Amino acid sequence: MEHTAQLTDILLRLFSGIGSFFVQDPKIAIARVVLILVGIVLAYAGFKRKLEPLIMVPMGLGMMAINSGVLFLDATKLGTIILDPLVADPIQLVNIMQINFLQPIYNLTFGNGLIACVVFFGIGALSDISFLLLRPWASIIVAIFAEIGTFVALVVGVKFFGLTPPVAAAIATIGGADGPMVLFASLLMAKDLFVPIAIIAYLYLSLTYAGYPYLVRWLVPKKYRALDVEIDYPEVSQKAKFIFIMVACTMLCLLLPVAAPLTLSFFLGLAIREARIEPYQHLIENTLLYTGTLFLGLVLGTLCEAQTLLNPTVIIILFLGCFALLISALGGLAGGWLIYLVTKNYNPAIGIAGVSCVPTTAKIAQKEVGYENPYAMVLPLAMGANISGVIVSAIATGVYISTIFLVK
Amino acid sequence: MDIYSYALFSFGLTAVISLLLIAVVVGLNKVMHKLNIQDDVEE
Repeated sequence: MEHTAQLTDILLRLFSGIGSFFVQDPKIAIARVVLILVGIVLAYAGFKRKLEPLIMVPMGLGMMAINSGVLFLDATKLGTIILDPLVADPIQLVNIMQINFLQPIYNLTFGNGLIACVVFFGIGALSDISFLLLRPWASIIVAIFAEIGTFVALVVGVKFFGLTPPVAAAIATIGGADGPMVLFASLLMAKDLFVPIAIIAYLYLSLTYAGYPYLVRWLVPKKYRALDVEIDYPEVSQKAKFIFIMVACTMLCLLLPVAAPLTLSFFLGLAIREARIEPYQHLIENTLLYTGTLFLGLVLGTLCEAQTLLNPTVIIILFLGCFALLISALGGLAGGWLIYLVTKNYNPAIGIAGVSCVPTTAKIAQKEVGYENPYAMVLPLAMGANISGVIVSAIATGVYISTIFLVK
Repeated sequence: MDIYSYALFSFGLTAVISLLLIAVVVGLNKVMHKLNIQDDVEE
């Protein structure tokens, strides 16, 4: 009998990944199995290009690994040697950084928003400000409409789910469809819920890749989707573009200092592109952006531990995030229709690109228009709406962070 | 401020700042066109 118990103990410790399922709370064990399966589905969906592969492949694998690789850290404590986001004590943190391989990445780049800023450098370096100058008023109006989800979700979060205004505001920023911005907002307004908000935000942002095309087809009839748009390409010198960037960056930093790190990162990316500083441009486009995105996906996946996601607020974040993105998409398309009705020279499908998921929503607009009319080129206008979307999201986040205290 | 008023206020403020920024960009674009600011020609 004693031998059997000893043998079981040895087997439990030898194969602790499997053994831990039998010694931990059944609820957590079941959640681990579900999350391993979700990880497999997400990684495979990324492989099949059904979801954004740059995020989903590392995120799916990270999710599988963190929920499979559970071991006995001491006689009774279970955990992993990948990442522990809940360590707050400085001495414990320094110790754990020497064991958990992703801990330094999490604490030194993720938990302070640096990775969000690195991704923003990249987005800036890939964006061309001249897209914004094609139809500046139309682009900004569409982007303002596409931000509506952020504000409606705030009201729903406070009134219907009883969330505190800062928490509701942090979750509502998912409606801006801008991953780095959501990371930043949740760090400043809902630090305790930062992990689930970040995970759900990126999960949904990848789902826009799959869901928004159906919304465009549903709300913009074929005849309108096939509309070609006359684009008058303005001649803007690089000097002029560089001056725009400096003025816009200074103005936004003056108006919204809380969003200054993100504003600076985005406009620095734009400035490096326009100044044609090629070594920096290559570094940002080819190395920093992809390194940032890889670690972002991987850390997000490894944050998907069963214990973290069994927090009851996660259900509310799931609902509210999805709701915010849906309302923003409806708002963006309504903005597209408004510009079409006023000017008659605009494809309403471009409205979806006001939701600032750069460049995904712009590509969705072009793809849906291209299916109906292969000769129609709306991508430059869609990119203009996309860049405006980033700017409006940054402004909305800054407004929330600096004024949310006004709500009683 | 109650949450409905705050949502309207913050949305309005976001819209105003966004429009202001674009107004500056458009205005600057016009000024630079008038001043005929061109890129320096590389030799």
